[in-house]
Amino acid sequence: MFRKSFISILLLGAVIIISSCEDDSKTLEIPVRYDTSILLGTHATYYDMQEIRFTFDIAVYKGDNELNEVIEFTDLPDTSFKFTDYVYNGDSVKHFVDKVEYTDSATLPPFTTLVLIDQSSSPENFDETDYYNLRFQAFNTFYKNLDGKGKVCFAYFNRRQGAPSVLTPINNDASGEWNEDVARQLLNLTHNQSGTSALYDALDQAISFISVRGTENISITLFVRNKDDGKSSVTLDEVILKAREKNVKINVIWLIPNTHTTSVDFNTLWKLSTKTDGFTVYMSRILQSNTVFIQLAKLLRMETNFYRVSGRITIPPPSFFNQVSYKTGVYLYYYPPGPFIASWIPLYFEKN
Amino acid sequence: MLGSGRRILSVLFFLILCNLLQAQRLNTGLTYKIYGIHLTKFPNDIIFSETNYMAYYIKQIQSPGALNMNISANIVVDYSRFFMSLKFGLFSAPNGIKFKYTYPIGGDQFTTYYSKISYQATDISGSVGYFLNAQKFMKPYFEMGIGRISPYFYSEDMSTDPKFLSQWTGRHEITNVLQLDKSYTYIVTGLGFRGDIMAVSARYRIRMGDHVSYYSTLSFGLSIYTKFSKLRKHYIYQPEE
Repeated sequence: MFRKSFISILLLGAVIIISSCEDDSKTLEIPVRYDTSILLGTHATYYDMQEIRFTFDIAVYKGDNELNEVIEFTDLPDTSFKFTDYVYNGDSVKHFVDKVEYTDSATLPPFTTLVLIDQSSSPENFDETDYYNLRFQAFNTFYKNLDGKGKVCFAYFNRRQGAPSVLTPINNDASGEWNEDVARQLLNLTHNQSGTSALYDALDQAISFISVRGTENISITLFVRNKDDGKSSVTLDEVILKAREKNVKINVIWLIPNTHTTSVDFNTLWKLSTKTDGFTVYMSRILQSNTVFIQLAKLLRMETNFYRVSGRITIPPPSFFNQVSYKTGVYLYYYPPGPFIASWIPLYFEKN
Repeated sequence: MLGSGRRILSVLFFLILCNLLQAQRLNTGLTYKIYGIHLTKFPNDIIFSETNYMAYYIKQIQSPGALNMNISANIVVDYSRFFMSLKFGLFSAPNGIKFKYTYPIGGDQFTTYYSKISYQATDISGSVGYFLNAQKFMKPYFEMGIGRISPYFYSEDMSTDPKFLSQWTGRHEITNVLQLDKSYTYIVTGLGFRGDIMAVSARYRIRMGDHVSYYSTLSFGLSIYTKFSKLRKHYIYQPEE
């Protein structure tokens, strides 16, 4: 009798063990995100005293949080792109959008990029635009989903008293594989801002750093918050010249509270990406940054469709445009008229 | 629901079994482990979320205490000052086992998060014990053995509130680091005091095998035994004359 009972208990235990928990693999949720547009390039096709003709390319992504992926905006009407006309010395400066084409890009070879993080703490710090520290998720989402599209190094910059170098690489070897130690240092970074922004010095060092770590499609992806502190030993033009010589594109992802802030030198940021064939993302909200970083690996390969917008800007005589460069911006409305549904995209046109 | 059914079934089965057992030095009993301290060492001071792309700082050594609901059926064979014990039980922590970690936010501020682990498992163990002093009414003993835990239910919730008044239900953040959803073998050592019909004990079980984290449980419990009647010393089985 005892033996039968004992065997029964064992059988009962076996049944329970067989029905024990099993593994279920999960897909990680990507961070919450907003609609975002990325300026891929601008070009002045005609530049005269009273008229500038131009094209610019914009990739536009939806902040659809119902999906666990970022999708492209494919159905924006021409009226989504709106310039603001204004009066200058009594003359009306008018903007015209002549044509909007939705087109495909040519895929670039695997990338080598240095994600360069502005770690300076003043005058802007992350407390204002990123009080929940979502940027780590953005960095990590990009880093964990390289999917063989390219290799990445991470570095940060700030100028601190007594520190010999403004650039601090996190990983010296460009890699396409996620590494726990690198991710750990990225997390450490997200709450230790200090010093001032040595933007030009850092870019100068970053160009030297990344140019020897790749052979094609090399870039610096700059996550920037503050303008150069004025203590750099190189100028903006020298940085741009060096980048062009070494075929290093500079992509600028800037996160600032508003476009009127004095903490960021717009002239610099406009030029950096435009003159080095990089892309520009202007954001006032960290949730847009998430969209960018989720798409960053594809962007660096130019695996994206985009809108090519052709237009004109005119001014009647006797007024005339600056004959070196012209800065303006376009509002992109993602949806039909409604509440806050637009992004502002800075544009910089230079006479050839 | 399924777990409760199994538990009731097992207890009923055991009670029937008790009546059937006739061996004189064979004791049966029920053990209820009331409280457990779950000494855990995480492999690193940082963990990466298993739900999204966040990462957290975590104190590597944590020892959360939690109420246990560990009911097991015992079969104990005595021989002189030695005994051999087999336990067949069901384990659960009704209020969950809570681990703590932090996420850095703006400035030098951190958000503290808690993960509450609730799991139910079968717990089968065998041990050999020795009575340190057989003369006392409550005989102190020492035991060592081996066992196996097999979870059949596992859940994990996350909250910023240690009381979990609000929470993210079903959010798994440390499942793969803790691996309490997987079966494991453990070694156990224990100290206790056993009388004729009851015993109190403290058992420390250490998870064995290739696991990411060190996990162990110090539990305190109470056992009720069938009476030591009709026994003959020094013999496992000897019918009465």
